[in-house]
Amino acid sequence: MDIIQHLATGFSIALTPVNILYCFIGAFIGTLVGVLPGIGATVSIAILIPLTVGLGPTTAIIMLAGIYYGAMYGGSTTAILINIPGEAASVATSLDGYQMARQGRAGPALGMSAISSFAAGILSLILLMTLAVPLASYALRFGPPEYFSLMLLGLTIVVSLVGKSMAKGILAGIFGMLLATIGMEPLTGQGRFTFDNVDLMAGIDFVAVVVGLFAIPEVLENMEGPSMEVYRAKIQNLLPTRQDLRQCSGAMVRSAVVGFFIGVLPGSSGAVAAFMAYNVEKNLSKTPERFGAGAIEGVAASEGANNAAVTGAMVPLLSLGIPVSAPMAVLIGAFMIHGLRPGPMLFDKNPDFVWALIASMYVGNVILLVLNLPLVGLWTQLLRVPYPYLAPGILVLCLLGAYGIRSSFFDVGIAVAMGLVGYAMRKLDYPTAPVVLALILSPMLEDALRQSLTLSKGSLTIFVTRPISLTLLILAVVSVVYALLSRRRGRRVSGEGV
Amino acid sequence: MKRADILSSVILMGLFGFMAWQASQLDMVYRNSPGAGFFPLWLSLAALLVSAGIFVGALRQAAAADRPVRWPEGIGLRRIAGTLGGFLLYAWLITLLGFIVSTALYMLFVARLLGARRWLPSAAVSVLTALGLFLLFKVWLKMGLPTGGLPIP
Amino acid sequence: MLTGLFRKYAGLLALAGGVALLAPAAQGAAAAAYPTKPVQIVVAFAPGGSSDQVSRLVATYLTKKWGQPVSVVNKPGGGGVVGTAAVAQASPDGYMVNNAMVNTLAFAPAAQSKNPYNWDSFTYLARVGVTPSVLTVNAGSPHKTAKELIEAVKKDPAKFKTGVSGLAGTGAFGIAQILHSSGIDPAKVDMVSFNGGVLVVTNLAGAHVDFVAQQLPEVLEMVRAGKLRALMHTNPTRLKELPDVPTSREAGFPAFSVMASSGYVGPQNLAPSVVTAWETAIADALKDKEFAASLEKMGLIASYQNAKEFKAWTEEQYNSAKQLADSLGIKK
Repeated sequence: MDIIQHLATGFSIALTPVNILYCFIGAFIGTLVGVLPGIGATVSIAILIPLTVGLGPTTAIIMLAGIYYGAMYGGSTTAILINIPGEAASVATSLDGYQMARQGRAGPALGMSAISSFAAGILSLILLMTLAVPLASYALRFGPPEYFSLMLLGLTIVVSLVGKSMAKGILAGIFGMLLATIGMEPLTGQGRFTFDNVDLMAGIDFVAVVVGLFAIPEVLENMEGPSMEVYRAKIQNLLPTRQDLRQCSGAMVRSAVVGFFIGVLPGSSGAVAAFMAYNVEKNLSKTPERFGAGAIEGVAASEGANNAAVTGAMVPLLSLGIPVSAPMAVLIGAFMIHGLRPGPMLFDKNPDFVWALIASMYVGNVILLVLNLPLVGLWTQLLRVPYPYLAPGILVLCLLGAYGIRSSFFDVGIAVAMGLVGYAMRKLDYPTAPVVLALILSPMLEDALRQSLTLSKGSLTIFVTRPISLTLLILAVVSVVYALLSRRRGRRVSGEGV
Repeated sequence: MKRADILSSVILMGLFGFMAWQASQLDMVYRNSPGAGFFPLWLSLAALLVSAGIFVGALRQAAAADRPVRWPEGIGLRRIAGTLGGFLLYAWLITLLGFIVSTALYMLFVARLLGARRWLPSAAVSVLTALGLFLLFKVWLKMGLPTGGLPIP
Repeated sequence: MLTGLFRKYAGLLALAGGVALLAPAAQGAAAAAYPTKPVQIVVAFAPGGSSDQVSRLVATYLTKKWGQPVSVVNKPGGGGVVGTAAVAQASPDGYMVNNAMVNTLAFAPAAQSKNPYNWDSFTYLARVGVTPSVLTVNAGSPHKTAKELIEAVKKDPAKFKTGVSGLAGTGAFGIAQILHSSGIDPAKVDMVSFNGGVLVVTNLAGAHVDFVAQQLPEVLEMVRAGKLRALMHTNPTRLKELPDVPTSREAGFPAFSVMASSGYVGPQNLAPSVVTAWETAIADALKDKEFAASLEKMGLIASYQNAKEFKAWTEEQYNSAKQLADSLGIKK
């Protein structure tokens, strides 16, 4: 079959020592970059540029792809260990991953994160190979109304994330949406809630909020009691058990599919994919109340999806020449510098290159698995550091992450403010995850709403007359109903009143 | 929780009311699509409504079923205040003394606050960590770190 | 007691001596050629747009030339205003510059009274080149020439939708130029604003909007692949990349003349040495065969201007934009 032949050629190029070496370097740098909170695309790109000068096009791009994957693998490490997601895509991982770490299961969490990423990566690559061309036109059919409905579907996940009080959870979500509006309004440039402050005009940065709402309150709460046993001393196993793997097999497959198809859409992100996959698993699970308290399927779903989304992002890149995010734009830049033009003609004009890239992505996934699994033991040692030293270390990392956004102490201030807010939220039983989820999704939701209404001249029917949008809206309703029903089921089981 | 809920929901109602008022001063419509103020206005109104709901719910809650909020006190409170206050001081100190010195000092301070007993290991760990982080972020990743007045960064 | 005092002062003396020794080193470092640490190019738009593409190319070249990492940082928002404003307020050490497009420098302040900066709030460095705007439709559109399209729009403007990247961008101005000069009130056509040129082009390819006037680098690939059809462009002469597409003059719309410039500016009061460094670097880049070829492939027309020329040209653009904005009542 044609594909097999192409793939074979691809592998022959990808498996040359030089390319493997640079794939490894890329994966390694990417992992490191992903591990550190707030250090994301910006810094990794700063490192990339001098390194790609002087490399051949195939090698350069293989390395860049490696960095992108690596960052996705790395982001989950701090999310699991110390509740600081390395980037937006790892937020869903921290919901269960960190709880697992506290229960002495950091090893299985980290291991499952690597394994699920690998499995989903391979699966999504198969989808990429077979579906790249038809998918390109699928991606184009997503106009503003479809994005609105997609974001709305994403927001319904909030219903699954609320704790005991639905009202408090919803309020947290709305609060996140309001936070997202602070700053310069995208259409007319007016300032919203900015009080003429220059720093506020640029908006509230996601990293500062995550660091403030997740990491700081956690650290503060841990030092309340006289004894500080944060992580259960006896670390059980280093890797997921066979039972864990069996439990998560469904999650791995489903998250690969969900993540891939969401990653294909220009403007979407790994975070959206991760949350959606997480939600799917929670809704489909027979014991949804375990999610948020250390369910390993949650980690598998989130990590699998964000990795599959990276593969998905390759589709618009290779077939339309469209980057979905900053690292992808770097790839395009690299393409151009080396005389290749990503776009509808790339598959025809430079098939060798494209297949070498795809083959190297397989290689990259293997390298990352091999890199990360042994490191699990190393990372879990980190948790043995006595909390008196670990706590300030975490806070210093928070400062670095917040400061690094745009070299300004203003963001550190936001992080501290959010830290206090997050602490109060915890005490008053308000969940913090909905704030972050809403912060990510709300800007796209608002943009899509305004664009759609401009297209329809103010008529709301546009959301239901277009088939894809209608489907997504129906799914959103289904998602809410499912979540409410499983809450009721869980309540009855545990004997609480509804 | 009941008292805390009542108090906090009142504060929240005030906050969201203020935001709604601010939002109402922006355009509601722009040509035939929502203007700058549309989204924030409706969001703040919705938030106001939900906070009012929490307020009412808290009022009606039976006192018997109430679980009071466990605010920190005693040693816990001291640690939290020290850590947070120290953090703000630390951020300011960086502009004076540079990253390495300030970080080492802060880590030492918090470690002792949280119960580390012996000076030498605490100091060593603090200094080494500060140096390590510096190497990692500034030298290797070439990230901009805040600098202070001392010749040491 | 005396020995105690002496020890204290000796300590202070040692410290002072140390600082004094280091000071010339610090000064020496400042005198060393710019740049001595990584430089950030702020692109005020989402990745993938023409501004972004050009900057990444320039960043790679400059990294090679200067030996310091030059990286691109995207700060999208407000149609380019957020990122540009960030640079206007950055510290004038020359390590954060803006890849300024004419729409952010000239059009935004002309059209928005509350703009956080003005065209002259910057130190101008150098201009790399210009990109023409291209009137484009989806390949499935029934209109084969610009005249056909505009006639259809004139008959029923409410039926048409256009996409732009920011309401004060080159796309919006270009469309305003075309419609206004044809006697159509631009306000009658629905203008949907997207967050970046990439999304505008994607939405055109998906037929969610009917026509756009984006810059050449953003539409080139899709036109070449046959997904989009270019109707006319604002370059004075025919383009090498699209030889079959008429110029706006040939197509009968001489008013459609907006060109985006791609140049670099920094915060006010940059040191003259920094300005010279950039002028030299950009001039050399354009002489470099590989660089020039890549630019061409991208759709950017190399057109160097040094700091003074670039500033004067931008002022011209600002004035003409102000005129157009006033006559259209665009000013907000």
